Amino acid sequence: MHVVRRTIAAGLLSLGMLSTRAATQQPPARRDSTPIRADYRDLGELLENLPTVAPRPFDESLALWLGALPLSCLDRLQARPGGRGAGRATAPDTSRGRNPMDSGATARGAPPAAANNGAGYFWVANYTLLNDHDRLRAFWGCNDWHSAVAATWATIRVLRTYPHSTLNDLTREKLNAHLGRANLDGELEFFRATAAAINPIPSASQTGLFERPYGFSWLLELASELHTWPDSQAKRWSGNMAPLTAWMADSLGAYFTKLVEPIRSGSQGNTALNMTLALDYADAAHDTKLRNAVVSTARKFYLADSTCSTQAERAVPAAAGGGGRGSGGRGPNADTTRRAPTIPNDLTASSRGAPPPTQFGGGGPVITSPCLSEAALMARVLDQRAYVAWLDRVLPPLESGRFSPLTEAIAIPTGPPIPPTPPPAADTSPAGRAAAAVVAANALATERARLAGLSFSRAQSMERIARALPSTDHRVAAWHRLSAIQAERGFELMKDDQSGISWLPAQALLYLTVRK
Amino acid sequence: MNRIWIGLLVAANAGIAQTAVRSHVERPKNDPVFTDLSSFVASLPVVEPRPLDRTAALQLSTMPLSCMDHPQPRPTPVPYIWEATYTPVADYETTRAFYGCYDWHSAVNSAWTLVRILKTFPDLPTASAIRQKLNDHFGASNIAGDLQFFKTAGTFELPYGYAWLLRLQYELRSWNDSDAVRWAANIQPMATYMSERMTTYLKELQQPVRTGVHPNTAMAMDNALGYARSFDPALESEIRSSAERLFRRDVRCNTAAEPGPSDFASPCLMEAAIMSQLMDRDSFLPWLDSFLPPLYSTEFRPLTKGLGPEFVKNPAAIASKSHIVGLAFVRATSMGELANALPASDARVPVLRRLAAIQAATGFPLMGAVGYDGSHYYASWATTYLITNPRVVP
Repeated sequence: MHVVRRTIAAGLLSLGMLSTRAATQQPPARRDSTPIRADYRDLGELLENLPTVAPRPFDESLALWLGALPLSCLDRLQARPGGRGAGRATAPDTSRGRNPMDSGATARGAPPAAANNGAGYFWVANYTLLNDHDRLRAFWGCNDWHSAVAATWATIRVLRTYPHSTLNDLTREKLNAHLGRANLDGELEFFRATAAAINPIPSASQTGLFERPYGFSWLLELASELHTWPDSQAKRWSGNMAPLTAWMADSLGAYFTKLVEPIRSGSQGNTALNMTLALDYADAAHDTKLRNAVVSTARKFYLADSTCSTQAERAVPAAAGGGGRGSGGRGPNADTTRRAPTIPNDLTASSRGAPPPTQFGGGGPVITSPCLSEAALMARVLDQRAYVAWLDRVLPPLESGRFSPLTEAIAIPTGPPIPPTPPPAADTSPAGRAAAAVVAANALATERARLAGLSFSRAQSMERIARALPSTDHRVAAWHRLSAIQAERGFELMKDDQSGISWLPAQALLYLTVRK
Repeated sequence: MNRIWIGLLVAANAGIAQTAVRSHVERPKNDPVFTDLSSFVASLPVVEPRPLDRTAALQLSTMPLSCMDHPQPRPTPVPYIWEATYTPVADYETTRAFYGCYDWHSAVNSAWTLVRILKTFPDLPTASAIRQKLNDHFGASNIAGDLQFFKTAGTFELPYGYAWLLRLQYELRSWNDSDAVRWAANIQPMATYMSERMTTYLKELQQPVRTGVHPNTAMAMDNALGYARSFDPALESEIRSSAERLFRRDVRCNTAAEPGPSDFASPCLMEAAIMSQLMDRDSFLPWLDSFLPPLYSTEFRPLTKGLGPEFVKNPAAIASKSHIVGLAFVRATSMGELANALPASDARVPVLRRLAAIQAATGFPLMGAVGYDGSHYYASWATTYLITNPRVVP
């Protein structure tokens, strides 16, 4: 009986998807065409069908693993901008995979190789290292600014969890070198100048400010960690950071308040994701101004949302449609896929939105679940009763087919993702083939790291949701199980990782911290 | 076009382009309400369309003439750990074509302006200066260098700059002039490349870009349409099918969201303008009625809202909002294109012409108000507007 019902349902769903595609003439390669599974009868049937995965213990060996990686990158200089005229070849860096978190945020005037911004058309840049960079900057390692901040936070999380591990002295030495007074004053000076270059009027709209919101949110997460650490050195570092922290809290609050609409893509710019990190800080540091800004904006954006399209969150290869909802959808996170393709497209309340990802590479890779990030944020915004009612409306039932992409561990990729545009011409010489193989291997490593990060991010959001529900709610156990499934896949993908060293440990630790 | 453009690029790259803040201009409580076209028209100031005569042509040509060789500004990043010193690319005068006028697409549309004006007034006193300028920039090696650069520059200038290049090439290839024939031959490899990339771009676009700035999809289609129709059936067919797929079902355009703070174009008007050129008239008229509110309605008002007196009196305010002058001309262009598509007997035609003339009349006196920030592209859109009115072009 079930079988019959499911087959029909699956058939209907796939028909729906096909007709949508035909109507919109989407290129088939850009859609995940596998139909989602049919609904389970109830939560019990879902649990029966889920693999039994226990949360991985945060033991000392895991701590050493997660602590060693950030220590290895904190002093590795961020790459010299690699575009034309950077004084080196434009060939991709073959020594390691590119960090998928990079593509969204590059410093002003510091485009990555093969940048889409026209660098080198007329002005050719020659780069030299800033004098005293290690005295005047704090977060100059780990590939990019936000990863350096997150890695700094990660070392502290490990140290606080295992204060007597062998990492203790190493970590404190690093922190001392990076979190000195002059370093953080230099950071503040840099950000002030960068903001003024966009708009000289303080606190006016500074659209496109470097590392805002994602890097700013991570800095606040770091600040809240130091703030709550009863340790004499931490107090000094926290004091050194205080002016930068205050400036960024202020700037991030203004950013949230001025947003016309939330960013609902799964990229690091996702508004709910950043608001959750900001709330961690606002609560720890009792920053009521920032808390109020986040809470009122979150209510404005998300309170009236209808059902989120979890079925669109199946993890698909990075280039194929931006990975689920990565394309920065029009309007709210609403489930639009079941809408009949012929009905008029009413623009009355439409957003004019961000350019789709094909536009200047905007959008960025999917590293978080839009639906779960939003649900995790609202857990901190609404009281429990209101939250349960909101959650029942916005997320489909856990046992439903539409929710199934979030109940499954992300498939381990075996090949590199499909490139967004075909390479110009294949170089068939042995050297050319070898170079192509290296590029493919790097792309695969980058994709694995991205999916590990996405797994940890989902797991973290699921834990936040589970903890916000009443303990009597029968879904709590299911949320914990789902979270463990996602996290375990994250650890699996992270093993032998060569691409996410600078940022993945922080994602894992954030999950472990929320789970604590 | 200038800082705003760079800011947008940074924003788009950071994946946070949605952060653009939209300021809703509060409508005065006593704004009159109209219920029909005739009472609305009676309320409008009488503004005659400005003719594209020799004086206008001379004035308009001075801006591109003065910026074509004014190199793009040197980048001034705040260094994080890598400090940059900048030098111009070697031999740029022979290996680059569009290095003036603030940025690449503005250099292209400035060149287009010179071509269009010279084509209309071949005996202007500045004709030989214009020819020399175009000759310097349209050399075979200049264009080859540009093409080589673009083959490694990803999506840089796609679609806005690409579409302008195609518009420039359309103008050259439809001009019976020996220089133009030579220039067009030099530019053709780049036009072919950009047309192909544009075709793929449109094919893969899953949703239209509806911003009021460069990436707008309808604007790219409009700028490329002339070239596509005349010289590139594959591009034309892709523009048609993309417009059908992306725009045909649209109803009730969100006029209340216009204009955005850095808009230089009206997304609603541009979509209507491109559809007016692609749909047959019988289907276009009902489509337009379901897409745009009536011209006299309060809902249409945001699309005609002029520059406030605070801008006219305060050049500094205009400088930081240089796009708002461009907006006047680009809106006027869309209105003119719409007027061209409606039946001559349609009562909306003279109203659209009048609204366009009113828009343009606020733009013309401000063309010099912000200096280079505006002069590097205002003339292109002013000229584009003027040629939408067949009665004012000789």
